[in-house]
Amino acid sequence: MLTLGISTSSGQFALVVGERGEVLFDSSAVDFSPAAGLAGRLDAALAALGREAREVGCIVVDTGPGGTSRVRTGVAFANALAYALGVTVCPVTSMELAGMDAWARHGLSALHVVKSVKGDVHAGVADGACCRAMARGAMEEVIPRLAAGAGRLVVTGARRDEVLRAGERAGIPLVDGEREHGDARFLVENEGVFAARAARFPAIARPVTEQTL
Amino acid sequence: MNELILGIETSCDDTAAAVVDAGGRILSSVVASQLEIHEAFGGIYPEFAARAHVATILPTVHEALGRAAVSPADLLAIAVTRGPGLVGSLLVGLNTAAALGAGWGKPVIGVNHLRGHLRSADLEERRVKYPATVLLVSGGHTLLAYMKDAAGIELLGSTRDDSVGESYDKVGRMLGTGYPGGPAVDRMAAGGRACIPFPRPMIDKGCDFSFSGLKAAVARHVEAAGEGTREDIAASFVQAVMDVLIKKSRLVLGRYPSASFVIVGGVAASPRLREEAARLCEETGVELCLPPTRWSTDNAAMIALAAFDYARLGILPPPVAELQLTIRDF
Repeated sequence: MLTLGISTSSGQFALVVGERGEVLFDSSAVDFSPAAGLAGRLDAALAALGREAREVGCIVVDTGPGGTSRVRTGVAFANALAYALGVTVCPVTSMELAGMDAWARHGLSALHVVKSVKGDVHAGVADGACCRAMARGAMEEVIPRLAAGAGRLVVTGARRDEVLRAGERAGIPLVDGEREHGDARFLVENEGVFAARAARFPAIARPVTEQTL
Repeated sequence: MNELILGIETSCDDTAAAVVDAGGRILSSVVASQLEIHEAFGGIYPEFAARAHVATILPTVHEALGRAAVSPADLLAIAVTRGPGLVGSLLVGLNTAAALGAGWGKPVIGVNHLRGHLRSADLEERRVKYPATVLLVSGGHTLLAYMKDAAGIELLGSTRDDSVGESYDKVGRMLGTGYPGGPAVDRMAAGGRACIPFPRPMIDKGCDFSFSGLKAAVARHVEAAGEGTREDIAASFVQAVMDVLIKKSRLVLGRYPSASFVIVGGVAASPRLREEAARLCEETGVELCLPPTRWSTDNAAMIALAAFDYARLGILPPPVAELQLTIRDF
């Protein structure tokens, strides 16, 4: 049974295919035309592996927050493919994805910050695959509130410089994670955790937006 | 039963799915309206439209398949609107269709929304007699076209600025009728006199349209608290619109031999337009062809029916968004 991981919250569409926690195909290692989309990446993955769509047994999708249209694209694709195949879709926030990445690389929790509307940011603190807190608001207000008592945090997201400066001003110990987003491979490698969660709390995946925070 | 197409339409603010056969028989048609979401804004809020599509698209597809009592194996293909439309909304439908196609092993055809509207007149029964003159009047489009047959379309003229439906909505907002403006302005107009001489932009200039000047004239009149009641303003606006649409349609019917005059798009539901078009057809001896009003607005059945033309001609555009499609494009 194959597991499909889809992450579109950052600038690049990522589709990863794995089996029993092992990554077999990662679209970020291949050049695709802009028109290829997620369907083109899935076709390429299955062709490269000599497998068929019906062998996909679980889909893990990054629900953001992130680029609104991009996240919607990934979530719509994941939901529809799961519906067509009759399999589970497991929603994972971009905060949780960043958390897994930060834990694997630094052994620390992540403070993931992305642009929101009206000059605000979405920010979250994630311990591995578990998002401890998530909020939206002005960076100067949100960062100290979320980071209070969290110890050293790894900062991820496109606006790391601003976050690091805000942390310095507020006396919060932050480390530059040097990554804009979590690696989509973690969606497949941690499939068991997400599948268990989705089985317990089944729901259609929905993008995380300012309306949900 | 492999002669069925599942249509998906998300170009604007309605999430729609339908199952249709090659003869235009509709096995199911489901539309999830977003009216309540956009009412408060007096128009469509694109970001919220796209978000609502994500939430409703799969239940809508599921309902359409259920009502038609078909399984994915019965489908010949999946048809989905690829443009023109709101990009965020289109992407939800396109990616949903692409994923369903991948999961079910079915081809996915990206359909031009305008071709769908043109074919809406043949839903449920063959009504259109070719060659036909077509007037498409909706919230997003206003154009006149000539169809030699179901697939051969020549664009004769289109709007250079606002569409008729857009003008109706804006005037509705000025007059406080609520959203959507079309039916409300028509109802208000029925109680007034067309006594205000609003302009008829480009009325004597070929087959192209322009409605921004008319809309601005109504705005100036309302701001200046000019003569007439709100009902009179609505009636005068509607009269100006009808004069332009009918005069240009008459011009085309005189130049292009037509067996039928087809009016499609949301504004085709206007009672005034239906009356005036009936008179025009009586004068010119051309058969008037109007789809039932439920097929005038955006729906997925018309997308599925149009896709049969694509399949027959072997034209299979991929499900990729194209925002600048014209009526001439497949």
